[in-house]
Formats: sequence, structure tokens, C-alpha cells
Amino acid sequence: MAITKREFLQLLGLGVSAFGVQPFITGSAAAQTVDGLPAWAALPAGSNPKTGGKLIYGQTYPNWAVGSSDNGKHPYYWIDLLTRSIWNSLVWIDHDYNVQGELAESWAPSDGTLKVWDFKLREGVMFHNGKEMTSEDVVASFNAHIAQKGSSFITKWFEKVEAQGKYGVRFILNAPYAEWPYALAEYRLAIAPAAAPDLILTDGIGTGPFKLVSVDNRRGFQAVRNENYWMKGRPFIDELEGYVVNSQTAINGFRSGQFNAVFNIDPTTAAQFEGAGGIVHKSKGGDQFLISMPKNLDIAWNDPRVRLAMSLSIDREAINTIVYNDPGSWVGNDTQMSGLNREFVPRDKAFDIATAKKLLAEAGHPNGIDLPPIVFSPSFPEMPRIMAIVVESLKKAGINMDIREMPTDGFDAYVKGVNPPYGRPSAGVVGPRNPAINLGRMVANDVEKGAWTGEKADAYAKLYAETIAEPNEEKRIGMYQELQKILQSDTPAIVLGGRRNMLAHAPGVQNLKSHSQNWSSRFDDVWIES
Amino acid sequence: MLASIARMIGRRLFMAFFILSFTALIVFLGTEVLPGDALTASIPAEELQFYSPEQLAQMRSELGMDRSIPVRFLEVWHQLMTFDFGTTIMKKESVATRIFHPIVNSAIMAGLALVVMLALVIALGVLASLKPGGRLDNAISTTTLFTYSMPDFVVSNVFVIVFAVWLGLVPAVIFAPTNAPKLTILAAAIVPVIALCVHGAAYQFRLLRAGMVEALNSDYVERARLAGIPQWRISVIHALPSALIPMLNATAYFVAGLLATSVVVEAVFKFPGAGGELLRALSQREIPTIQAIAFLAALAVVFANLIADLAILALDPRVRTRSSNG
Amino acid sequence: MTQIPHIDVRNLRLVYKTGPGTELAAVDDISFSIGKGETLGIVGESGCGKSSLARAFLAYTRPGARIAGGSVLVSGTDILSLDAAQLLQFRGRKAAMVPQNPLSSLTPHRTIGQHMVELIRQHNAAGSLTPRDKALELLAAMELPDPAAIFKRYPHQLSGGQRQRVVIAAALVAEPELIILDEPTTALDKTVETQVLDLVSRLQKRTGTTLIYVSHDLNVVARMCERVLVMQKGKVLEDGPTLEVFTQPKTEYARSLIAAIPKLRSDAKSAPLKVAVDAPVLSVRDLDFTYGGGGSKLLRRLFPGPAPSRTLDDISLSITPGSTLGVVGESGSGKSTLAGLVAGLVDGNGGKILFEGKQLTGLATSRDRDLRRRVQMIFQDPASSLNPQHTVEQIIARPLQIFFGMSRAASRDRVVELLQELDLDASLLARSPRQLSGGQQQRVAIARAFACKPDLVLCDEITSALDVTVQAQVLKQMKRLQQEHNTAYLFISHDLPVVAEMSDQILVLEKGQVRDYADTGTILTNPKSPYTRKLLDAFSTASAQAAQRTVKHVS
Repeated sequence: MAITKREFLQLLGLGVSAFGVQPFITGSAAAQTVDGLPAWAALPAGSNPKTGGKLIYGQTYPNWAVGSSDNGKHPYYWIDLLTRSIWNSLVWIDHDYNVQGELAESWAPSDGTLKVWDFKLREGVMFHNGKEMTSEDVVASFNAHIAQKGSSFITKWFEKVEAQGKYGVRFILNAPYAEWPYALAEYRLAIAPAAAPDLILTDGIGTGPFKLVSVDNRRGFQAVRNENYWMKGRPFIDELEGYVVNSQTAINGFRSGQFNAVFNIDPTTAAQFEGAGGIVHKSKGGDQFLISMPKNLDIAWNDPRVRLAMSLSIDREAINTIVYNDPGSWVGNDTQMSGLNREFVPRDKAFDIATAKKLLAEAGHPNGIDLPPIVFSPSFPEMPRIMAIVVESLKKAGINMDIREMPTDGFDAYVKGVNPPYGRPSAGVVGPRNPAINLGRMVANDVEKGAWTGEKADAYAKLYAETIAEPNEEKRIGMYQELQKILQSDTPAIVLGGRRNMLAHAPGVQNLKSHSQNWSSRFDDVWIES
Repeated sequence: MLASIARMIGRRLFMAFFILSFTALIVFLGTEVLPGDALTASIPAEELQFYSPEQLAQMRSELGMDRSIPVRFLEVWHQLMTFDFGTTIMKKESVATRIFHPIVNSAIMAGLALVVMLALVIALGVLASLKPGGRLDNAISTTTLFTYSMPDFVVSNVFVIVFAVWLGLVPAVIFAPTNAPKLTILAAAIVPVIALCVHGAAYQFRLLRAGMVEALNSDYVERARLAGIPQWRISVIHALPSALIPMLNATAYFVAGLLATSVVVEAVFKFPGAGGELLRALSQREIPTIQAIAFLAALAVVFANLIADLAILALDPRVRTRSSNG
Repeated sequence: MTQIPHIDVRNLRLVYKTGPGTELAAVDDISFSIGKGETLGIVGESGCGKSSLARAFLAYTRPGARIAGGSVLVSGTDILSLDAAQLLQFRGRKAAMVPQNPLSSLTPHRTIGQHMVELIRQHNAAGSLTPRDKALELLAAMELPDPAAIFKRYPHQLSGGQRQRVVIAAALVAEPELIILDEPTTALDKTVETQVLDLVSRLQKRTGTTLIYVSHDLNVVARMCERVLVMQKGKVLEDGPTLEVFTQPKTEYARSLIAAIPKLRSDAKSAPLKVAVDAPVLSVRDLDFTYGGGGSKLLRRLFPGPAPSRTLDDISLSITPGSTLGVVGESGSGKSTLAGLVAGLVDGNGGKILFEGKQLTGLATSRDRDLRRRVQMIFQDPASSLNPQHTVEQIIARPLQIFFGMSRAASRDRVVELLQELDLDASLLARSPRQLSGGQQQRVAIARAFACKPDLVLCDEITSALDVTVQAQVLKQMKRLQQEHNTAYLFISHDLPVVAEMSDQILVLEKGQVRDYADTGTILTNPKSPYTRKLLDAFSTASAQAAQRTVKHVS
């Protein structure tokens, strides 16, 4: 699962979301609290949560970094990326991609350079060891994250972090970064008690809703309610356990009643969970599927008309309907942006075979065209089914292009082993992120960019650099949309659209939701009806 | 004759040495010829950009990747032969420590599977042979033919559905941690062990039954029968030891097959064994771990063969004589 | 005879299933009775149903066979209607069987002691002794040397004669009233046979045991039995006093049977010695051999074996091309070891073996290819010397391909030729040894030996397991082959008449030492050693024995 692992590590960079510098507009919306809770933590209207019970979940999507360490108490090597069971970060990305304060109450850039950011910490937050969390712990935690290369995206901008009194920290960056708070929502960027560099983050102590009892990072963990959790009255459940299992074992465990929830089920097994009395919850998004086309070789798709014809030939609605049983939902717009990003600009017409055939004829292929094969390694179980739909719909427009499944082991090296640095034509996955990261890939990611050059590419790169340093959010949104239009006009890559993360739970489990960013799932608002 | 047994064992150990060396070579080449080197495969692509070429070169040198392939093979070979499995590539943690519990857990499961399988097969084989072609024999033979042709994952899942989901007798998923007390592991292993046995037992049973039928048709059984020796003594004392011999060779293969089967069965039941560890190591390209597990598995197979040969030697005094002529 | 018959067979019919719905009668409506203490011989060629009949006396049929009608009354009880528990009380205790093939009839992984003790316990036969002592007593009574050592050994570690005595001892455990001996002395030395039969006779006199001998060996039947049944194809052809049947056989079949018995004739071969004429093909000088020794103490304890003993002592002999040297002796006399040394199956430890004047020592594997080709050996038990996985063609073709580099096609023609020389049909080519009769197997083994165009063939008890008629045939073929190919034979057997018929010279071995060594005529008429004389006495002619026995019976 090399691709998957890499992809997840790329996701470390997530956290830069679409909302720009929210504090400029609202001051700090995240600071507002209701009954001692942040506003975003409010339960759905009419909820009547029960306290007690035990949630035991199966997880089919492990943290692939686990294999390289035995220390399951370290957040980087937490069994399944869902670190918010034990720890908190400064901020959290909610189900609608808004950044929300978690251990940070509010934040703001100290000046217009966008290079200095101040965060005000929540007061009275206790670690599981009974010690109060202060700026000292946050500074020590971030220094450890930098030293241990926890997140490549903060590393790139980070200069230093310093305490500002007991409940304040200041980040000093080496370049303007208008969307800095989003980068700090990363699941790896947990806050842990200050300790010596070789000890910090290694003891499983956090501020989160559950206290770790035991963990076998290759298998599962047990945790119990943190009675001193900073969110008053939370969590509702007494005990939380999670186990990494394969798809079939997950169904077995769910059927036998050992699991009352399963994360990241294969879409094809949804009916089996429902048949066993389960309720399936689907998030609005997930990773997207991207086809990269190296344009430095003598291939017909070097002509942008052919690329656009390809894009217009693909019946993406069929993917939503057949694979995810989600007709009418958003489809890919040939950028890394997801339909959940509010800056998302859909193509005028996503599926238009007539236009596609016309474009092909214009490009000198009136009788159809043969294209070189694309290789992929399935990161998600439904990926082969999606690729089959793509091949079929391309064929209907007269485009013959094979998409070949390859073994996971050594796949990355296989793709990058030729035609450096662009590699072979391939299909991969792209995580759901905020525009700064999403659109930056077409500047920085050689494979996805696929030797995209020329006037449009140059204009794109220039505009991207201006956007990221633009302090005005309204302006930024317009610039993000402009960037997408450049991509759509030249189609350097084809992005099919996103998957839907799915979980299944027993009927008694309440308010458990699948998150488009799987790793941002949380348990402090979940309860169990007896 | 007696020296010949020592020679046989000596020959076996000598062969074992070559088999294990060969295993080391295959594993080494396998991990060597796969695209990409261990280092770039271990560091996620996005992370690679954060290492300077100098840093990468230094890490390669620490891993010994800057030396020639034969030299590195000799190092790997020497390490494996001295049971020094080294450290993991990324975190520099001891491989031996990492795989200790999974290996022990798997050994417990495989050992239990072997014992249960042999007990089951011998009991069934003797019962079936009491009246070849009888109703009991037909029932057992038909059942084993059926289970023999079932894939392991089907068997395992059927077991889960029947015993865990329908009857609720056992858990469908084993929650016991890798380092759980070994008694817990033993208890947890029961259903996986039965699932492991189903396939193996079917094949072994068929061999034992054939051996029993042949032995029961022998002159010495006829003599014993005509001398008024009761049936149970004839079956157990006279026929069984001879009938075991053809089966024991297959039992050694069963042990070899256990490795492959247990990867499947461990995954279905979520048993904390070496199969899962091997899969994980493969997906991570944790080469020292892969080498260690593959080597230990080969060692187990070699050992099982040696035990089987010694058992045959103990069961058939004629082989002891025969082996003296080569 | 007015007493109630001990055994009364009435209209017994025993059939074998030969296919779906088809059966063949092995015993076809036979009726006869045997008085208590009587000795009955049942003779006939293999396949005549005599062994099936023998097993019926123990209410036993082999798988595939069944009793289709009639009854077998033993002391008035129909044993065919006994239930399983009653049969356990009957078999071994009231009636016992001495099986035909002692090697395969003893459980290979059980020691002789374990066999004996098991039976003694089962039948509570130890009396006041411990089972072990009782077993030793029985083994000693069979005149087995060193019963305590025999007790510890496995069947394959004994000689054929020793095994035969063991199975007889096993049958005698519970002193049954009826003993059935199925080919009891096939592999036995003549002198031992005499001792064994005497022993059985003594027991019979003391206990009034009824004896049934099932045998193709008319010598034994003539000597031991008051009455003879001659069987063919499941029917009784003749039933009468032994003398009458032997001297005035009523049927042609009985006549041919009796004619086939090898007899000792003092004029057998008195041809001039070839020794002086030709240089010997094989000569042996002062050959010594001691078995055992070696191995670590630990292994010896784990896997006990026989103690070392001297097997051959200062043997010298020579054979000229195209002649036969017969070696006769009892089991344990060292005659098979002698053959093994010449063949290179065992490594010698003293003396010289010269083949055409050149040293021939060491194992066969260390000899050069030509030498391995020129010295061939044929064994007693072809079933175990022929690879059961190979076809007849493969078995015979192998030496042709190895030694003469023949192609498959060429070797096939030669194989067919060899089969014809031995009166074997080409249709046997694709069969495996298991699908052949004993006689056919042995002829395949002979064909394989002659495929090598050998100059010397070592024959170790090659006809001991064969029926008399088949034996006569094989011996005739061997003689013909010798004349055609001018091959020398080292012909080893315990059967003096057979050796005398085959050999130009005879060497008599006892306990590893040469007792007599002279041309055949001299041995038969004027032996030097008392041992040879004793051996000759044991082999008096069948008719004389029969006459003697029958006269006693009539009086």
C-alpha cells in the first residue's frame, strides 16, 4: 500500500483550508462558547444524550506509519490516525472544512506580513497526568514536531515558536502564509506534556476525551473516559476501544456484536452491514482520483484538445451512482479541489461526448484515438471499479486507453523509475484539502503536473504565488477560482471526483459521523442509547 | 546401523544449512531486485524532499546499501545464521524484539494446530479403518473430501459465522494484544486452530486411512487376528505405527503449509501472529523483518522435516537398517 | 475311527468377489472330517484354494471373500456362527495358525518379545511364569539360539529360519487343540525343519493336537501326515492315506505333482571337474567376516541392534566359467553373507575375493561399471528386490540402458527377447511387480540379471518361495541360460536336493565354517563331515518318508 502510505503522509500537510484568514473577518468565532463548550461542539437540536456505555470499533484503514515503530503511544504511530481519542491539537477541521479552535481559543496574525501568528490557549485544560496544559507544553510539542518531521507542511514555513505568557504562543514563519492555522489541525500535531526531546510524545498522555489504558499499535487500544476533559460533560461514553481489522473480519466482528461501529467500510459491503442491522453513514467527501499525463513525451494528449476531450468523455455521474450510490453529487472538476471547498468551480458541462468527439476531430482524430495505458495501484477497494467505468466511457467516445491495475509493492518506484521526474502515466489519489494546498500541487507535484509547461502553466504559477500571500480573503477566493479556470482550460490532469468515506454503526450508537478527512473523526460527542 | 542414524541426522543438518542459506539468498535477492531501494521505499515520497542528498547517502551507508551485493548478502547470511536479525530500517528498533511475540504466538497456534490435527486425524483414521467402507468410514471420508476442497478463508469465515455469530460461543475477532499472556493466546487460538486443522486434517486423514487400510490388509494383521488379538490392539498397536509413516511425511508439508494458511486465518480472526507481521513488513518494505520471519519459517519447516524423519525412524526399525546402505 | 470327528467340514463353499456381481469359488462344496489328533496334509498348487480352506478352520476369510455355504464344526460347534467375542476366545486358544510368510506376518515395528508377550497375556498362557520367561521358554523350545537376544530383536533382524520358528512358537503359546500350518517350512533349512516338525509331533503326542499341514512341499506332507487331501480349483481331487496317494495317485494331476518333487540322486552330477581345465572366474581366499560393531553408545541404547558375532571364518572356494558351485547350509550358516560379500552389498573385513584373478573387494558402489555388470545377484524375495514403482519393462531395460547405452526402442526389443527366454509373455511389460505371481516375479529378476550379460550370477535361495512345479521350471530355465551364456553360478540354498540338482560342486557351510567342499557326487555319496551326513539323512526321499509314516499309521 505504498501509494496509500505516501498519500497519507502527504495529508500531513492538510490543514490549510479554504477559508483564508478567518480572524481578519470575525476576530475569533471559535472563541465563542455555549455552556462551557465551543459552539462547534453543540449537539444536533433535540438531542438527549445518555452517559455511559462502551464503543468498540473496527478500523479497516490503519495508520501505515505504525509498522516502522513499536511505540503505539506516540501520536505519529497511533493505530489508525484517529488521534483525537487521546490527544487534541490547537485547531480542528470540522465536517464542513471550517477551522475550529480546539486547545486554541483564538488566533490572529500579529501584523500584515502574515509571518507572525499569535494563538491564545484555552485555560484550565488538564493533561491525563493531572498537569495543566500551558504555553510551555505547546512550545515543547511543536519543537518536537519540527525535530521529528511530524508535518512537512509546517516544516516548510516554520521558523520558531515561543511562549507568550502562560496561555499564549507565537509562531514566527519564514514566509507569508495566509492560511497558517489550517496547517495546525494536522492529526500528528498533538499537544503533549513538555519533556526531554527523546521522551516527549512517547507516553500516550494527552488532553483528549479518553485516557489510554493499553495499546498494541499493531492491533488495537483500550481507553477510558477522561473525567477531567476540558469540554464540560464530555465525553458521553465510558470506554473506547478500537481494533485494526480487514474488511471481512470487520463484518464478522460487527455481526457477532463485538464491534458496534466500523470505520472506512468498503462501499460494496454497506449492504452487508445494513443487513446486519447497521446504519451506514457516508461523508460528503474523501480522497479524489487523479489521472496524470506526462506531456514531455510524444503522446497525442500533448494536445490540450485531446485532454479536454478525454475529460468530457468520462461519465463521472456513473461513478457516483454505481460505486457510491450517491447520484447527483458533485463530480471532479480536473483540479485537486473537492466539491466541499466553497471555492470549487465545477466544469460548465462535465460530461459531453458530442463536444469531445468534435474536439478529437479538430485535433486530427476523427475516427477515434489510441492512448498509452495508465497504471494504478488500488489504494481503496473501489478504485478498480471506478477505473473500469472510466475505460468504458472513454471507449464510447472513441478513445481507447487501458487502465492497468498493478501490485502495490514497488508501485511508486515503478511509476517514477522512467521519464524522471514525471514518471509513467498513472492514476493516484489526492486528499481533500484547503485551496492553498490543493492548488499548490500543480506547481510543486511533478507527477500530477506531468511536465505541464507553456504560457498557461507559467501564468498559473505566478498567480498561485500571489494568492498565497494575499491577506484579503475575498480577493483570495476570487484568485482560487481563477486558478481553477486556468487548469480547466488546459486540463493538465484529469480529476474524476472524490470517494465517500463510510462508516457503519449499530443503531444504538448516536451522533457518530464519517468525516471527509477520516483522521479528523472524533468521539467526544458520541453517545450510546441502551 | 547406529552410526547410520547419526549420519542421517548429520546429513539432514548439513542439508538444513544449505536450505537455510538458500532461503537467505532468495529473501535477499527478492528484497534486492524489487524496484527502489529499501530506503526510498521506506521514506514516504513526500518526505523524501526534506532529506538532502548527503543525508540520504549517509543513511544508505549506515544501512550498508553502499556496499556490493555479494558483500551485503554475506552480511545478511551471517546475521541470519547467528540469529542476529538487526534493527528496523526507519526506527532502528530491534527486529528480534519486534517479532518475538508474534513468532511465539504463531508457534503456539501452529503447535496447537499440529497436536490437535494429529490427535483428530489419528482418532478418525483408526475409527474409519475399523470398518472400511462402513457408514462411519463413509461419513468421515465424505466430510474430509468436502473440507479438503474448501479454501482456508471460506473455512475460517464459515467458522466465524457458525461459532461466533450464530452460536456466540467464541469471539469473531480476537482482541488479545500481541504481548498478551501466552495462556490467553492459547485460549484465543482455539478456533483459528480448528480452522487451520480442517484443511490439513482432511488431507492427512486420507493418507492415514489409506495407510491403515493397507496395514489392516497386511499379513501381520491377519496373523494377529487369527491369533485372537482384539481389534483395538490390532488397530492401535499393530496397524497404526506403520500407517503413520506415509502420513508423517505429509505432516512435515502441513507445517510448511501452515505458514501460508496462517496468514489467511490470522487475518480473518485477527490473531496476533507472525503472518500479519509479515504482511505488514512487506507493505512497509521492512526488509530485516521480512528476512527474519522468512528465515525462521524456513527453519521451522526444516526442523519439522527432521522431526518427521526421526519419528519414522522410531516407528520403523527397518528404516534404521536400510539407511545404512544409503 | 469311531470317535466324534474333531473337525467336520460340511458342504463348505467359499467364494471371492471378482467383479461386480461375479464371484469365483475358491472352495467349492467340500466335505470331510478330521479325527482328534489326526494329521492331515492339504496339497495343491497355489490358487487351488488350500490356503482359503485353511483360514476357514479359524472362521476367517480375507477381505473380498466370504463363506457362501456349509459349516465348519470344531468339537461339535459351528465356528462360522461364533460372534466376535467368542472368536477371540477361539482363535489362538483353541486353534492357531502358523502363517505362510513369517517376515510379512510379524509386525515390523514390534520386537519378537513384544509379539510373544502380547499373545501370552491375551491367552493367559504364562501359568506360573512371567510372560517374559514364558516367551523365552517357548523360544528356547523352538531351539532358537540365545532366546534372550532373539526376544529383543525385530523381525527383519532374524534369518528366515529364525522367523519361521518364531511364528511357530507364537502359534504354540496357548497349546491349542488344532494347529494349521500354512506352508510352514518353505523358508526353513532341512535340518531345522526336521527339528521343528519333530517338536510339533512331540507336542501333538502329548496334547492330542490335531494338525493340518497346508503345503506345496510334498516332502513335508509325506513325512508328517497320515492323510492327504489333494486339491485343485477348489475341489478335493484325492483324499486318502498318504502312502496310497503318493504311490498310487488316482488322478493325472496328483501324478504330475509328485513327479515334480526334486529328489536326491547320487548320480546327479559326476561330470569331470572343470576346475582343472579353466582358470576360475571367482576365487575366494581365507575370507573372514564379523557383523556389528561401530556406532555410538547413545545411539546403540536408543536403537538396540544385535550383538556382534563372527559370521564367516576362513572361507576359500573357486568357480570356473560356466559351472555351478552350490553352497548349502542352514540359516545363520553365513551363506547369504558370503553372497553379499561377493556382490559387494557388504564390505568385507578379511581375506581376498578374486574375480578373474583381480582383487574384488569393497562395496559394489566403489567397483567399476564393468565389474558391476559382470557380477549379478538374484535374491530370495523378488517382491522386495524389484522396484514396485517401475514396470517390468523399466526394470529389465534399466541395466540395458546403463551398461550398454541402449536406446528405449532397442532396449524394448531386448527386454521382450529376455522375457521369451524365460517363457514370460510380452504382455507383462507394462505390469508392475505387484501384479505378477511369485514365479513370474522371480523370472523377471532373473531376466534383469541376464540383461547384464553377467559372467557370474549369485543365486541366494532363489526358489525357496516358489511352488514345486514353478521351482522345477525355474531351475530348468536357469540351467538352459547357463549353457547358452556360459555363466558361472554361485547357487545358495538350504534345500540340498535343489542344490544337488544344480551344482557341479557343493560347499557345505555350518556356523561360518566349511564342513565339506567337493564335487556333487562325492558329497552325496561319500561326505567327509558328520554334519553333511546329518544333512543328507534329513533329506531322504519323499516316497521313503511317506512309506515309513503310513506304515506306522496303518499298524
